[in-house]
Amino acid sequence: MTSLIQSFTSLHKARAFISMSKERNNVTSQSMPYSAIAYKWISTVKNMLKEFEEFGQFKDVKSLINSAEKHYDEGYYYLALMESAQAKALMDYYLNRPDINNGKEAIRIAETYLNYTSTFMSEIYESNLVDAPFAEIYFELAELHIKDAKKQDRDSAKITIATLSIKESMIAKEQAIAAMFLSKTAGLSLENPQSPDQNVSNSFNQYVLAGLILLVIVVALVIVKKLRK
Amino acid sequence: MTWKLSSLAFFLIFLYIPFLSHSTSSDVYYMPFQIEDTWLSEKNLTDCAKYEEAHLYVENYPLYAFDLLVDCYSENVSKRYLDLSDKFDALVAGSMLLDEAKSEYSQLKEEMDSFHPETLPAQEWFSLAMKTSKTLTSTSKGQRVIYPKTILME
Repeated sequence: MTSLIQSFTSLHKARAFISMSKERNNVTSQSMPYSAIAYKWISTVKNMLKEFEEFGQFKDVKSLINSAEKHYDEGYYYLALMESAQAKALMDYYLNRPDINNGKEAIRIAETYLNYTSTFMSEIYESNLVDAPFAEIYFELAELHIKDAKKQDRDSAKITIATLSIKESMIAKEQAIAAMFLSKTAGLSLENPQSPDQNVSNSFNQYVLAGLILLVIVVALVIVKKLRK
Repeated sequence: MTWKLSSLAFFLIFLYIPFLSHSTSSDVYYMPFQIEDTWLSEKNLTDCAKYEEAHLYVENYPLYAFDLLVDCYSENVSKRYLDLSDKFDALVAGSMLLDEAKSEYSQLKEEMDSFHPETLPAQEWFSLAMKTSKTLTSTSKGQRVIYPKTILME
């Protein structure tokens, strides 16, 4: 009976998401290199697994990558991309696990991760061309779990829940990057897609470059003015 | 000359403003997910403990609020099963609900097969629907989302 209830639940959720999908099917569209990007993310995680196999079994990462590959083969590239982004985030977490000594510190670290992720989420919220609901779910949960951790009395419970929040923030960040990357490559056919980190850093560099050019022009004008005097 | 230089400087600063606003603004949020009013005003769900809670989260955590409402819906299905079990045999009640689920699933499948998302956001929601519908046919072995249990109403 439990699985039957679960089925009804999933049916209703799926229907709501389909209705959302139909609503969002009317914006200007450009072709997306879904498969190339999903493939790139899957390959990145597989390489990481190979490179760091001596550090652990990474069962959940492997399970996610298997699922991503299966979805990729079935042609569900976006789903494969989100699963591989989740797998990459977990891999990053296992390889760079923060040192946590007590509950208070755990919550502080979780808040730092959340704030960092919020900068990526802001970009999603500001864009009408990408929604990233997978990332949004994890971002909401990360924030709610911090609130939840703060309400715990026991230190161990604070640590457990805050750690969960850290993982969720990392997943949301990676999925948001993947979704933004996809939206920025609209209309391109990618033979060799750049890594997402490169892409984010390139955007930042463009802003800095524009600022520097402006500064140089203004300074040059001031110098010219002074020389003429 | 000074006038010309000032005009040029202002013009250049004006050109740079979009870059600045794009890289720093984080307060203009676009929140596309809206829970349909029919869900929020569903009379059958009001008895559910999570119904009130869901309304508290609608604005800032819409997807989480939606999950709470869906949980209420599950509770409702359980109640319906108990009502049916009172009238019929438990097995018959189960099979009646199973038939209903099967029929709803085939409708959903038909809807999904005939719909082709063309934009990225549409593809994103469609993939979420796809992932959700996959839990109908197989037991989820991947990461299970653990929801916050002790959040109190604020």
